[in-house]
Amino acid sequence: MAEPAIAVHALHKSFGTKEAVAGIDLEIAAGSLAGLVGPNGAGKTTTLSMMTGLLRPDSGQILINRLDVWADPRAVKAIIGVVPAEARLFDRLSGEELLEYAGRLHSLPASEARSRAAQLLDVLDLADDARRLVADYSTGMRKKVALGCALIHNPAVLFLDEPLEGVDPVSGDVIRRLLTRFVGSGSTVLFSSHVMELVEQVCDHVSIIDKGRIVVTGTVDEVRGRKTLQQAFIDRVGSRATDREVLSWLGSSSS
Amino acid sequence: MARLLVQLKLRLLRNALRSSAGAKFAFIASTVAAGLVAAGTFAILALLRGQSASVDLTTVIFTLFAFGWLILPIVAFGLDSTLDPATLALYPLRAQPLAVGLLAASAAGAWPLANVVGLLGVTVGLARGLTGLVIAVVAVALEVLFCITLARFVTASMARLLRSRRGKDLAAFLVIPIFVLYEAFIQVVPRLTASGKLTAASFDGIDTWLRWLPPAWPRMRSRTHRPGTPAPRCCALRCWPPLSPCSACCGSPRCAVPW
Repeated sequence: MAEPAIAVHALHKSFGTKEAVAGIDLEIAAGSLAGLVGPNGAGKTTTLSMMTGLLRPDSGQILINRLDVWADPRAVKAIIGVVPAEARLFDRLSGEELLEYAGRLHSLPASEARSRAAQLLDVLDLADDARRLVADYSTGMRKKVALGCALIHNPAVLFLDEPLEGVDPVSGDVIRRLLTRFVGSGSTVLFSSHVMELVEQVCDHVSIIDKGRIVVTGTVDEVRGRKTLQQAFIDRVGSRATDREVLSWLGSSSS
Repeated sequence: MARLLVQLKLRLLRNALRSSAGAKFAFIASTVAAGLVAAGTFAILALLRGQSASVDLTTVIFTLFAFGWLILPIVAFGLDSTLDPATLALYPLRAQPLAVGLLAASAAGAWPLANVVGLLGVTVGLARGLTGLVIAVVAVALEVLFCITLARFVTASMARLLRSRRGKDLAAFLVIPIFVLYEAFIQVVPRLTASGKLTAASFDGIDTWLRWLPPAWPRMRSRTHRPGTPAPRCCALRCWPPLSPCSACCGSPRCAVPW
């Protein structure tokens, strides 16, 4: 494999006695569209937060394009874009103002930021709502504008946490197409999700995480084998509840 | 960076007028209230000129402003998104320009302006002569910077809690302990003072470190003069009410006594 765009070694993070990330090793090649899937509470968000310089790991190393995230977070933040699950945005800016300020906070000249903001709004199908305040945006529109903020400085690597959570199919399609196009230009994308269909459709690389550990990693074909990714995922992670006995009262056939 | 963040803050403030009717009303009401506080504080501080308790009362007013800046941002968290560190966490910003920029952004707005205008009343109320005037202006600037930094420190360190549902509930309940403290204060302090258990000397330990707070620096400066030197020391002392609530609240004229 060529030099990986993302390389994670022995990553650990605990909250009190709970070990959220219990030793993760992961390498994502440049130009990949990689998915990080896992059940709720598996450690996806914690892992992504540590990779993007938002949460300091207890131990381990994360390299993005050979730059150590925690040795020089500022240099890394300049070459990555991040769309958190619940992005904290300046709600009282309009969509176009938000993108413009995002560009300028990434040190773009004002005119360049303005021009890129206009183009992104167009591609993200937000041109008609460019002057509305972000506070009045729907969930899908917020995701799209957050994606615009993450792309405006043309990052080498893009991280997204649950990018399609609460997003309608039309907005979802816009995001999906933009990600595919972005990766086509040689950039790298890593996103977390628990929607297997999405991962199966767009990703070329997938890692399954459970209880803070990577259970399996590889190309989508390697990971799913002859099954669907959904089935492979359930086989690896395991069904968590045996509900047949305990919910005997549930359903119209019970008395 | 500072310029960009100030522009951002002003844009956010302007956009409040484009928000929902409720937010618009809140913004206008808050701006009008800031104007009234500015005018009222200026007038009160100015009217203290020549009054016997002017230094003590001015001290109390300055202290109240500092407490206001300590508590109100907790209750009103979320109104100023530049106060939430999470909004800027994703950008590659150097710590030092960011700190200066955020301080400058915090200083932009109706309430910081009201603080400056209101407290400048001290230039009429207490300052004597040109030196007194200059020191009063510097002291007001220091007090406002102190208040803003205090507010930023509180909100930045508590941002995670304040963003959560539980944090917002706690902030709403904050009024209860404040009221309890206030009640205890006005019940207990006069009683203790009357019985002689609480005197200016009771605060000897506390005032040695309170003196190190930024607003007390002009007063510290006054200590470098030899006792008995008249004009400059008196100017410095009289124009600057230090942040020593204890001495003022127990009715001690200690802050007016040249040390």
